[in-house]
Amino acid sequence: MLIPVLLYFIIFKYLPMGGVVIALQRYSPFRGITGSPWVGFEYFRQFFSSIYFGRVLRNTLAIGLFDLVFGFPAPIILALLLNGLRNKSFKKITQTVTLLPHFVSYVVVAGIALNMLSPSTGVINAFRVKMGLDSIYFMQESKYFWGIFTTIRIIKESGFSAIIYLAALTAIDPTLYEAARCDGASRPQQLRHVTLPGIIPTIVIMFIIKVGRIITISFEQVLLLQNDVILDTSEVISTLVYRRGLVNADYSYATAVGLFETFVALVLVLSSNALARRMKSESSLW
Amino acid sequence: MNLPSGNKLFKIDYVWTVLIVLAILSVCIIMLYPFLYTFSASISDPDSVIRNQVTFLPKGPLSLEGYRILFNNDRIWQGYANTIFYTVVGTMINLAITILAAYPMSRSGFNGYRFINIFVSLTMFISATGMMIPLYLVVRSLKMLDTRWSVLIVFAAFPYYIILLRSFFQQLPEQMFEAARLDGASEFTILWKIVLPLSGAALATIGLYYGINRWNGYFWAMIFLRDESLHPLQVVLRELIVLASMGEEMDANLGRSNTNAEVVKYGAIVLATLPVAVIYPFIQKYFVKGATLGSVKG
Repeated sequence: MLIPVLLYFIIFKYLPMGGVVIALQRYSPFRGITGSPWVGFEYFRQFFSSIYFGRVLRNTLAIGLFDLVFGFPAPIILALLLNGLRNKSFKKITQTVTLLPHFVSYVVVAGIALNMLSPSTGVINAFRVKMGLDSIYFMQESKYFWGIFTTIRIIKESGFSAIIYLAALTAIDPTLYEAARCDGASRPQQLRHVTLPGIIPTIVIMFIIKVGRIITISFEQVLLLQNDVILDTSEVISTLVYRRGLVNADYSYATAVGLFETFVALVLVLSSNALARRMKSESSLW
Repeated sequence: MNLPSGNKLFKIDYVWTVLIVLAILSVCIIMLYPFLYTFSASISDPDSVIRNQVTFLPKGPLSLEGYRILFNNDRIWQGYANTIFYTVVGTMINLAITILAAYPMSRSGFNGYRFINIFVSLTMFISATGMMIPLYLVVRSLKMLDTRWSVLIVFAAFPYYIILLRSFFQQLPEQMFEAARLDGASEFTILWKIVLPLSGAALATIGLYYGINRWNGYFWAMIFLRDESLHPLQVVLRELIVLASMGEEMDANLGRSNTNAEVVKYGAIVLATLPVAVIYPFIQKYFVKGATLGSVKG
């Protein structure tokens, strides 16, 4: 029963893990791992001393930070709004609507976004022109990329991320609300003194987990919105690996960059997981 | 604390409720508008679209020109057929491997219990970026590039879903397994005849997650498959929509333009989104269940 499972994990998970040794070689696919010369940390040195290192690190952290500052509160606010709705069927319909973007592919979302932002046929520039403003070439100006990327992610993922908070909200003891009402608390006061304290443990844990993933930015998402003109703000670690490794076939260099990301991400994830676990076991304190 | 009196309280709560409803309505509008706009543009007069006159409702005489061009485009249909194949066969492979891994991982009496749990869980910590190049080279050296197998087999299971299913299996009552074993049932029989029939909802949830992943994925198919006849819909779409809009801006700057290109793009987006949008409200509850499954047993 286990043979297919073992084979799958060995070939497609553990073999590539071992394959990262090519970061220390001048790897050539014709010579293979056994025949390629060893060069030590040559490619790491190359990466750290290139202009790309500072640039991709800044972009990765900036996008991660944007996602944390704006992307983290969005689903919490959405969950609180949904939770505040009294009409059950209205609540259900709105939840369906806010979940929909999550199930649409990033290719489609990127396509819609690029169309809407286009200077010649985009609806956003059509509104700008109607208001007497100049149309802006959004995807050709570096300064807009972080904002655009974060906005798209928020619209696409908030509904899905809100589910976990909605679950936490339904777990709040309804007698607490009854007691608050008896004491004459208004709904804003109930939010402040019952609802928020009830979901703070979940918020803290989700925040820690999110911080742990701050440099893990999906290349599949960035790649779709990126173009050569705005690479200076849109190139992140993972897309650099793609460009150098899969487009230019600099396998060793790209693997070295990927290994650097893996190392930093692992340290972040492990410490955030440990912290989250500790919080979970202490969450009775709240 | 200064508590508002009864009448004032009623007023505050009323205003509060109105504010919430207004806020949630604007959120819904922001999320739906891009889709409605795309749909409107796809059935508008191609000239109005090019002149950027469509903002919300279809403009000009309704036109299905974009769809007509799309229906005659073989690549779109080939892509559709490929995606259906990858989604159906791929999801079955996903479920098979996930079940075969999750079951032994859930039986603490099993000899290799500790080993298999560590063996699978460890792979959750490797970053996708770090594995990108080595994984590509493994697939390449197996001569799997440009075959349907690459897309189907390389992502045969996600460790995260295996762990989800393991947690579900662990919650099944232990006495049931003992009774079956006393009756002389083999582990495989227990899995097939007892465990799986009890796991319908969990399997549906996990299967749907895998299925959506298969339907929406583009990156690895784009990397593994150079042969256009093997491309799934998302790869075709990427070329049609994303790459085209970048090239087109350049064309537009040079004063060249193809009147129908825009409506074709909008139509393609509608065709790619339609199946998901139609099915999704019916399967939504499974997704909601799946999103909270992981948090039940940390």
